Amino acid sequence: MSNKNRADRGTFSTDGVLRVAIVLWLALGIFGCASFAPVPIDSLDYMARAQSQENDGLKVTVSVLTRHETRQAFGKKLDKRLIQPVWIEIENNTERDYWLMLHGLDPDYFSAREAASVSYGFGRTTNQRIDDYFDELGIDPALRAGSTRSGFVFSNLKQGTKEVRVRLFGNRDLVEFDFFVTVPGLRADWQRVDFDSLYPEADWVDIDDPGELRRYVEAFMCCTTKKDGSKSGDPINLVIIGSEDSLQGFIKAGWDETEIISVGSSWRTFKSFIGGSEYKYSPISALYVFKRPQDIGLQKARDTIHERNHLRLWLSPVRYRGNFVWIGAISRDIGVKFTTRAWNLTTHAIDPQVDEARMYLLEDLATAQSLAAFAFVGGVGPVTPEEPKYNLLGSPWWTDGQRAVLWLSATPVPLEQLEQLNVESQQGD
Amino acid sequence: MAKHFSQYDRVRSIALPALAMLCLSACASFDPVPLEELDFPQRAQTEQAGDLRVSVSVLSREEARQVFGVDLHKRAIQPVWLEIENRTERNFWFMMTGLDPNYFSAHEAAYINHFRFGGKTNREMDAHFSELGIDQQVRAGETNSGFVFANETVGTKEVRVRMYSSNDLRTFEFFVSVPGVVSEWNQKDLALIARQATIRVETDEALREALRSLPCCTQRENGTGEGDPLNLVLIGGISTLKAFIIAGWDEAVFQQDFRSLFGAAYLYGRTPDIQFQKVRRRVDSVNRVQLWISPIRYRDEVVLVGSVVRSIDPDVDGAAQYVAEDLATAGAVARFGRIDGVGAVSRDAPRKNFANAPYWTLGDRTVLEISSEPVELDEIELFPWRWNRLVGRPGDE
Repeated sequence: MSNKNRADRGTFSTDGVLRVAIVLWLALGIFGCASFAPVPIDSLDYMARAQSQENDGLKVTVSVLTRHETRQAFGKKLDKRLIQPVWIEIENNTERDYWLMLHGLDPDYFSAREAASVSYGFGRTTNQRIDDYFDELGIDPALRAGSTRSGFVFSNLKQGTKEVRVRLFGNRDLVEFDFFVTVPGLRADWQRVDFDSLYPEADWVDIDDPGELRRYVEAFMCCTTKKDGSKSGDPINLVIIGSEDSLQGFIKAGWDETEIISVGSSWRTFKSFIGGSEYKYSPISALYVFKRPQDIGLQKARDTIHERNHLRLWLSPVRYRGNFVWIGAISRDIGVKFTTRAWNLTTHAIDPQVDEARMYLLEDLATAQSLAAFAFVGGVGPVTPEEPKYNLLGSPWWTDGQRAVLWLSATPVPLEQLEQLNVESQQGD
Repeated sequence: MAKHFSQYDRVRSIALPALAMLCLSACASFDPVPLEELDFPQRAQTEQAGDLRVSVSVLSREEARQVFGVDLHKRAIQPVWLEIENRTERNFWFMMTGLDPNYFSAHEAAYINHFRFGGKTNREMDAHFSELGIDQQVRAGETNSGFVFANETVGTKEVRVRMYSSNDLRTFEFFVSVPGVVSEWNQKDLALIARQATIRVETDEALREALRSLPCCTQRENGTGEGDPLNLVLIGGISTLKAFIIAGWDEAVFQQDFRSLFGAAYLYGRTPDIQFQKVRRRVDSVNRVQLWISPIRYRDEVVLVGSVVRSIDPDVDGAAQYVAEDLATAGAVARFGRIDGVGAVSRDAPRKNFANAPYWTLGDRTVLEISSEPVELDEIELFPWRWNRLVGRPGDE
């Protein structure tokens, strides 16, 4: 009893100290918020990562700030509101005036003032200073002949690879520069794959004949497997054909890369799983083809993590007319369901009408003008709703049994030029 | 006393689950109304191009509840009914993403409306949604009808029906007023106002003269005061309304909100004839456009005059530039120009609008001639005036 009393008294006095400390800390905290002390922009090294393109007397250089750099240069709040500053420098060595279309870079860009407003603290003078700071660093979109301009555009956050489109508008003239910038920070699954050494040179098969391509694709196994190659999971319903950089077509169409499973990514997934919020880069489970997990996972989340389309790609050892051939599986997550086969007893239910996701991708890439042609071939085998198959987590699916073969294009293809091919009669691509 | 309570608790512990069970089974009743009993197909809009015919109708919240047996509005899903007749000799594919890039699949729309413990009912629901969803493949000589599960819009909804066939694309564009939502300005007789033209101009120079005589800013009801700068001039009546809808602006339905937020604005003694907004949640901001039908007619086209502002940004030129780029990117701008307007207001001595919000400007008005046919960005012409005060040089005028 006496011990307890002493302990109580002890607690009481520590409590007092604690209280004072908390008040002090709070006061400091508020004071800290109010003091807006950005690191000088010149001391950051985003410039070292900058990419440049030149065309007809115009030179454009871009670099996207990492999360850490954003916090340093513009404060913590900008990063929390998912605003991503993009640095641009434009040299106009022509004799024409141009206008930088901020809308072309991001149709929902933020004006310098809007971006500044999220960093406001307490006090007019501070806010005034924040306004001035953002105004000063925001880019001036008017590009006079013979001048050079640089500054920031405040865009919506995209982790991983971001498309930065620089559109310069002139009198009946439009010059466009398209950059794909991989922003450091996201540990995407494809970064752990050494694509050059996936297959020994002797294993590569070069195919030139469309008939032979069709035979290869149709003979490919129906579904993904478990690690040891046993069981049959999701249908392999995609074949993607394209050059090395044609996968940028997915980025253009707004797909997000997938993070490797780590403590951080698991925590973020867990939080969005519970809260039903959006975590666009959430790891997706490993399925196996060629006895290895997917080389690339891509996803497009809608409002919540439970509603997203996701696809997995594996590089095959086949080159068709010099292009890579990727084998893939796509499905649409439509919600959460109970399972005994996952550690957290839940998994994503997929849309059992799995062909729908395949068509979604086709339309999506076509609308982004990333698709040159497509064809349908067999290979999965028809599965009816009455007798569905089940994937490895117990979700049912059925299909007409076809695979979509998609030819990607690195240059834009208008929708009305998109071709549906009969693989056998296909002459060129 | 305590004992009494615990007994009471025990009774409650039995009664509550029983009640809950009852409620659940009641909630899980799923009784959709047969399609034939509803009359939304009667108000469908129809367009025909060659041997393809498309009809479109958007369901009201109540109709959707009847057809699908659940309240889809709760999940912001808006079913759009389509009927597509293909009398060509080719198979066509209806592109779902053309209507809504983030559409819901039929199974998805059903799944997110599932009842918690309604195994059998939920399977019924899946089958029902799937049955009513449209079949995207429209074969030669066939007619398909069914629903697309789109994201909800209020006011006027753009319904774009893209029909694809190899090396062939046909687009049908509809603007459907969603039943149940009436914007205040829809109740105005815009046609009547539009007939009251007094200044008819034919040449660019005459247009410029006419625009010069406009007041600087919005006014109070009695015609006095200076509110938001009139920094926007749009040439084209219906095509302007369509352009804003295509570019993703919402009709501002609740003018009351605007009044409280921005103060009531008048011109020609009237509140705005047309209003649009784009809400930007991440920065707590609203882009707002208020337009009036002016008495000016340029080559018989209606000339709209108004203001565009971002609610938290005093730089109104940036807001005007945003509208220009947004409409241009939507393919709606045929010509672009800038003329003198409000007069320069420096950031060191900002002016205030009726809501006491500061603004500054270089003083220009942005003039956009709206086209009803899509115009590529590199086809946009400039009015024979300097196209931008910053870029243009002295003497360009």
